[in-house]
Amino acid sequence: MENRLIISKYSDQYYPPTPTNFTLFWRKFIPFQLIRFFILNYKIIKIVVKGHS
Amino acid sequence: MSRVVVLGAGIAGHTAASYLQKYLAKEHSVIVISPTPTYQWIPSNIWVGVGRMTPEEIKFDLRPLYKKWGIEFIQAKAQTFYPEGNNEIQAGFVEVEYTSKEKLGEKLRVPYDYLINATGPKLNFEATEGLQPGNGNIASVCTYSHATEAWHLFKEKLDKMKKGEKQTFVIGTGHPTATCQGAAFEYILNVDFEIKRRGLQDKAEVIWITNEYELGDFGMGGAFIQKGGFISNTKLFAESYFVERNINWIKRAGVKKIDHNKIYYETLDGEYLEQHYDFAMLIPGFAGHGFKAFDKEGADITTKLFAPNGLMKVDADYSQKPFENWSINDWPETYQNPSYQNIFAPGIAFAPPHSISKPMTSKNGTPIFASAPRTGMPSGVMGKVTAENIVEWIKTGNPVIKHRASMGKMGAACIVSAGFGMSKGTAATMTVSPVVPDWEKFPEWGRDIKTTMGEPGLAGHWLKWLMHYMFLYKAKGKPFWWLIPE
Repeated sequence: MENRLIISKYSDQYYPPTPTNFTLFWRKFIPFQLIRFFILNYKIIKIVVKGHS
Repeated sequence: MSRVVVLGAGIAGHTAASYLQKYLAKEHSVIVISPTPTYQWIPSNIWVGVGRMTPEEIKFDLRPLYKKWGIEFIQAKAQTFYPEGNNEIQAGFVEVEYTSKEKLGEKLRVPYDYLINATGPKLNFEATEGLQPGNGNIASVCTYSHATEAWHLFKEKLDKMKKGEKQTFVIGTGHPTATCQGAAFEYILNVDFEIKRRGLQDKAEVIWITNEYELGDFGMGGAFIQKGGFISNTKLFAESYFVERNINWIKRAGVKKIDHNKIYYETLDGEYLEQHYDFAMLIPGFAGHGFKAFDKEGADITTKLFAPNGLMKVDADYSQKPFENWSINDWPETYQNPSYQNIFAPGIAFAPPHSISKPMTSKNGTPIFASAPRTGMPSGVMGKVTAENIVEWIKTGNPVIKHRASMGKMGAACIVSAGFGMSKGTAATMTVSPVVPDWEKFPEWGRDIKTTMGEPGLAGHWLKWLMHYMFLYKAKGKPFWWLIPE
């Protein structure tokens, strides 16, 4: 977020949400990401298993 | 004894060949025909294109594996199909042309009892004037050799920026109806990551150009994901990714022509505009390979086997319907050709009934929208079910088609890499279920909102990295390869 440039108002780039530093921290925080890694694996396997008949 | 011929050794073809050799008794023969003897894990081309992997890390020679498995390998490209045979050969056969050095250009007729056409797409660079990779500042990541060239070109640009020169990077789709936005999306994020890793962001302008109506469409009509107490469209997800990184974008753009430093495109509004670039990686349109087909009497039956775009007709509903009447039932389940039931076309080789995204036409009559994508996971699943159906047919003697894999029913996982590194890397883990929205079953969101998700983070990079090694392990037929799902 700290690198965000000044975006011209009313352009497409003006409207989307931008992650806060707090959000960016959790995206890189290894203990939290390790937990997410196992959860995401589980979710993907569920999708994969459903896809085969 | 049955002969199963597999055309193509990509994700669908190699997966089918792997299961055929596993489940069929040795008295049956499996023949794989492919123009190159190399298997490449295409999703990792992105990392080759930014110098984070070498081509050797993402590919391997199939011949020793096929020798071990008892699969005959012919290095050739398919040209003509004779599904009824002719006056010389009674069985169906396919005419191929050798591409190996020793027999280059020689023709061969390969008879079959069952044929799997997994030839993937023709990368139709010619459909956009000036798009050919290697042409000046144009790159591609569609193959490992293209990705290697892309890295060399990208490195040149990085060196220029180090010397203080400003550079404009334009990445996205290079044809008004191109697909595979996901791969281009990954590449732009990785290019941006590598520029910033070197502290060169002040010297770079990075721009996304796309035929999508809105960002995050990805050729699948976008998706809704539940996150942070909201259900929002992937449009927000993609745009947020770009805004966070200061990447600008041009949407609803059909690229028509490229010269040494300008991209010429038409917008849905009918405007003709141009964009300067110093480095461009634009995904080409996909088409069939221009195969021909003849019946027993020698009459041309190409239109019986192939759709006008050159891709093979399968058990899809090809009747022309308005977008509002599209259904998941239009999508094929068995990838079996309706005219010749012993021919199958899994992966990108099958002709989709229509796009997934809504077709749009500019004021000048140019179609500008994303064609239907078919990523690695669905292609692998299609290859597997095709092999299973053929195996059962051979074993029982009846054309039993028990195994099905419709893109309107199966889900898909896609890990969108946004930077390489075990502690600094990142990727968005995306799952959609089903791939083609089912508005009858899920009237609110088109897909199962519990299993459709998008989550950015370091864990996504670990997943992408793990999948690289896991799927190459599987493709190499290492012990218990078959336990790894597609």
